[in-house]
Amino acid sequence: MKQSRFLVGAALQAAAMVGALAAGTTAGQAQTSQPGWVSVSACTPAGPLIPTNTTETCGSDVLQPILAGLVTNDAKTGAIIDDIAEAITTTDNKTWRIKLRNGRKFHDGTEVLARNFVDAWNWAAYGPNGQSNNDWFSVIVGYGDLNPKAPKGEKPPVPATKAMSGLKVLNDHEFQVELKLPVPVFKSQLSYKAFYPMPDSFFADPAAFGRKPVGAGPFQLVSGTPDTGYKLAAFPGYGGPAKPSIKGVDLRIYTSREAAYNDLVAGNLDLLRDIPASKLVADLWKRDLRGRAVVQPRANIQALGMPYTDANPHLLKPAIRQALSMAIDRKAIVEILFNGIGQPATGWVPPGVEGYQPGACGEYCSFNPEKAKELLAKAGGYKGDIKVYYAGDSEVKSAMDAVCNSIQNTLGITCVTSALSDNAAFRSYTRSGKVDGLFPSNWTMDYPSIDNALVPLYSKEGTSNRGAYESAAFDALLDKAATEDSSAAIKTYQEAERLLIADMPRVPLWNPAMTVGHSPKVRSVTLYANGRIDYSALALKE
Amino acid sequence: MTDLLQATPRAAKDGVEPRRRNRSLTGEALALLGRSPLVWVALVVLAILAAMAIAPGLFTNVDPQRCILLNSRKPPAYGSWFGFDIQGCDVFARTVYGARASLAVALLATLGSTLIGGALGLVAGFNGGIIDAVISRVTDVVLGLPTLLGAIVILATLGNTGGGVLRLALVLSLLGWATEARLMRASVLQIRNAEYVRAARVAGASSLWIALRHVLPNAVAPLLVLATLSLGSYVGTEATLSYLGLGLQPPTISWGTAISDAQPYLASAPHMLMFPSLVLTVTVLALVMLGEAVRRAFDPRSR
Amino acid sequence: MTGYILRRLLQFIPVFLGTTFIVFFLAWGMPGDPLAGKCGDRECPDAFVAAATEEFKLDRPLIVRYGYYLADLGRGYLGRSFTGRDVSEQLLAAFPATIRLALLAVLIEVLLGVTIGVFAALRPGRTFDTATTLIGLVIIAFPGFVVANLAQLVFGVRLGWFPVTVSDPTSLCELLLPAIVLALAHQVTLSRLTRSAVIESMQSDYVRTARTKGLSEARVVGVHALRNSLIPAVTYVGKDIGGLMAGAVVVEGVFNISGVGGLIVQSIRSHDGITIVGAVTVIVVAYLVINLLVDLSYALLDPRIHYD
Repeated sequence: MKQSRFLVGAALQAAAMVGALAAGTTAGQAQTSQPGWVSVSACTPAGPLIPTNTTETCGSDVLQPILAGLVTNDAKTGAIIDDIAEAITTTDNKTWRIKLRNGRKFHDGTEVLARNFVDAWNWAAYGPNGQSNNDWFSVIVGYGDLNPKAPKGEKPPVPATKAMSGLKVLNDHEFQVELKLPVPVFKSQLSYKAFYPMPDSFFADPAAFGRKPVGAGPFQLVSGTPDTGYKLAAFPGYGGPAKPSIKGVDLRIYTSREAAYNDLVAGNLDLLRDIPASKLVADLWKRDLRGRAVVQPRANIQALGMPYTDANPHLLKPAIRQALSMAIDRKAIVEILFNGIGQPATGWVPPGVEGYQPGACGEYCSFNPEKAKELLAKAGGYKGDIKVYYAGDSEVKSAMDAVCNSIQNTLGITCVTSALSDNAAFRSYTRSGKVDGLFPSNWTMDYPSIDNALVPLYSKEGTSNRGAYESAAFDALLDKAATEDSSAAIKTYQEAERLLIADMPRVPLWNPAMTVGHSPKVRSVTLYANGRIDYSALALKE
Repeated sequence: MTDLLQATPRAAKDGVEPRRRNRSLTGEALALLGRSPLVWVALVVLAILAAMAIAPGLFTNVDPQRCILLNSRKPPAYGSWFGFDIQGCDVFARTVYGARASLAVALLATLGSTLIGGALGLVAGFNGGIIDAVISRVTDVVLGLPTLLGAIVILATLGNTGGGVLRLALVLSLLGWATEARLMRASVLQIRNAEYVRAARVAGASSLWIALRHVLPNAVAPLLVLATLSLGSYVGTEATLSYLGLGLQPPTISWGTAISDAQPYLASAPHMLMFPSLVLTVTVLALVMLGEAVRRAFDPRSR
Repeated sequence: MTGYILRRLLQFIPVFLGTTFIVFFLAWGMPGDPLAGKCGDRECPDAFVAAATEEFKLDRPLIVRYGYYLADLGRGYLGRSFTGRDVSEQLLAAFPATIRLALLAVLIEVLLGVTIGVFAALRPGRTFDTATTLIGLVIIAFPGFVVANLAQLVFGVRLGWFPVTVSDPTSLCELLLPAIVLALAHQVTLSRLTRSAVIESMQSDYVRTARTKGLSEARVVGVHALRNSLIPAVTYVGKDIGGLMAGAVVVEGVFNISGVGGLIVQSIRSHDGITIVGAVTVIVVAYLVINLLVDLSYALLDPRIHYD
């Protein structure tokens, strides 16, 4: 009796286990890639796939091949070229007349019409919709009506209208945009995905769109979830400038780039962007991948942010900021930690951007221990430790350690790095005004024009001016540039950039390059300046 | 401590098989411990590590905070026995100086979790009833909590600065006491109804007196065994927390941060990972061997 | 027996409430604005902050929000995460892989641990016993993430014996290497427990009786000694399954398994409180159920134990 009871129990347990395990095997099948398709590493989107509400990399990477806008960048030259737009004209940089091409289609078969832009922009700018790209539309006349200011401590009132008065549909293929003030680079801004058109079906059910976005781009989403990844097939009805030769893109979700890298080396993955820094050293990746490695410059700048408050009175002195900048051996860090991939920053604007001027920062961004010590001594020295804060879940630790060591070795100030638990904690702290040390501050260009590297970061009203920097002279130049035509505006912006030397609101560190590793199957891998893969150029061997 | 452990015979585990006791349990156990050569090896290793933790300057005269990037990843050579790490710091010096923080975290975390768990387990087991139910259910919840969540929240609540070792030890204690509490409760339950406890009750002794004088000394042995074993595992936990980005922060030097910093470079510069890992492994091994020996010495059944 | 089970099930209620309460406050108590960093390199516009604050009721006191959460739970709704997905959808996507990995790991752990334990116990102090003890100690002395990364590099990338990452979590074949890595460290304790329990029961009266009855050695060890030494092993394995569900964070990360560990870490990183509460609560409940099963299995394993 005893025995049988035991056996039954054991048998039940075993059966339950085997059953649970077997249940999986029947459903499973290995992920083999279809011919003509390319597998690319991706990460889990942080939210629904709505372009006007997607600002992080993971979601953007899924959306970009699906969408198309009025203009796009030429992958080789970086120049703005027309995509859905046939012509974009203005005489005063304030009133813009936009004419669309005939016959461009969304993946659901409907044609892209002027109302698809106007409705999309109005929807995104409508305050209660809470889109993270809402402020892109603030230059358009009537934006304020859709975003009434909230009385202090209260909720914002419901807007009286749902449409901006500055937008007018002229006919099916033409519309007009009225801006509050002249924006010479408005056409460049239009390449950003906040300005992309939305199909009529979006407005009926935004949530469904967020799961399965429909665009007018070269690829259409076939299936996928944030956990399993996405399958994007080439869209047969695509009539734009970026027609791909591959049949589809298989976006696979990886939680760590280390894991993706190992899959690439083992031949299970075709494309990995952004090789982990630890694999760059000693050219490990080139050996692992037998040379299937591409390095391309990227419109990105990594800088050291600083508080502009009295949380740390030492850091308020420009001379100390300059001394810190001159104490950092950028060249050694780029050479040794990134194996020479990327380049030391010589200004606040990344190379490859319209308006980039080499050496904008002058001698203050080059490593000069003597001058650094001199500046520090002149400013009265530095008492206490310097802290460098960073987000513990980011990958900047080794670079920040190196920056800290460089400062410590050069100036003899004790420098310690301090990890905050995650990005949210890091951001809350660094913008709080209480931060008493330095912090890494990364900026990827939304569109490759000099104003995008200066206005959001250093103007008084800048949306990402985390150090709360303020300079009347600098702001005056920005205002002046806004009223000028493109080429004059760029000169003025360049002048403004040079003004930053005196205050050193952020210490430029380096411009990381983009690295891509690929499988033997794939050839001609090229990237856009913002780091996106150019799928239209991608070709398969055979 | 010896005093606590002395004389009074432990109640037999299942009450089935009473055992003979001629000598004190502790004395017998210590004698047994002394006969094992492994224990001596472990003790020598631990003595060296303790010396490193107390006076690292005796082992190296290299400054562990002096890191020259140009030396990055240089392999072991004369004068730098363990080579240089990714930042160009001397790995040997950092390993020697890392002993203090790594061992301190393990020691304090063990102490903390044993005290918290022991106290709660004693209270739960001795009182029974509603108090026991509440403590037991809280124990369940704590056992099910993800360490990462707890660690992030507690570390963050304690602020961004200062007292790295203490903070980490506190976090590990607050998250780690549940196992200890369970064990303590189980052994208290066995002893609570032993004849000498009943006798003491009849004699009119106060509950507190009974709990501290009669129950605790007899229930504490398994807890001590677990404590020696957890010492080793906490050294490893510190490394894992560093890997998850929650470990000790500079300027504190520890083995955990060294290992997690070096791990991505496994293929290109293995020496940066190997030496701190080796020292950590030897330490854990010594602690676990000692713990295992203590366990055997105190557990009459494995003799 | 039924009464006992009912009583235990009733105790789930306060534990369930307690867990959601504690985790809710821990998760939302994390320092930093949960909406910071939701807009890439840029700062979030006011309209976005206002709408998200309203949707997730971020401006209400925590206790009020906990009330809303309980009310939702009462309707069987686990809430919606910052990612715009229902928490139930996230959990359903993450749990199967984790459960499969945990069960496979436990299976390997039991096979290895019990086998090693029994053989070590048959000849205590001999070569096999000493060797497995020492190897076991070395295994647990190594940090888990080093073992996982090393196994991936050697057996996955270099030798190609196993898939490098798990592209399809329903394939047991792909889960094998991560499961072995998980099982390795855990089997050490299990084999030690089994070993000492078997040694003890080998000296007991009923084994001596079985021997004198002339039963074969295999039957004596396999049925009489082993069965009676399984209680500590079952207790440990029960605790382990629960632990594996929450604690496979490192292995899931290394082998790219989209499981619960990863979901919790990601939610913690993005301050997604609702998802954290949901996932942790499910884990704690699973833990309690397994504990109950373990307690019930005592009665099957040891006739001296019964529940009224």
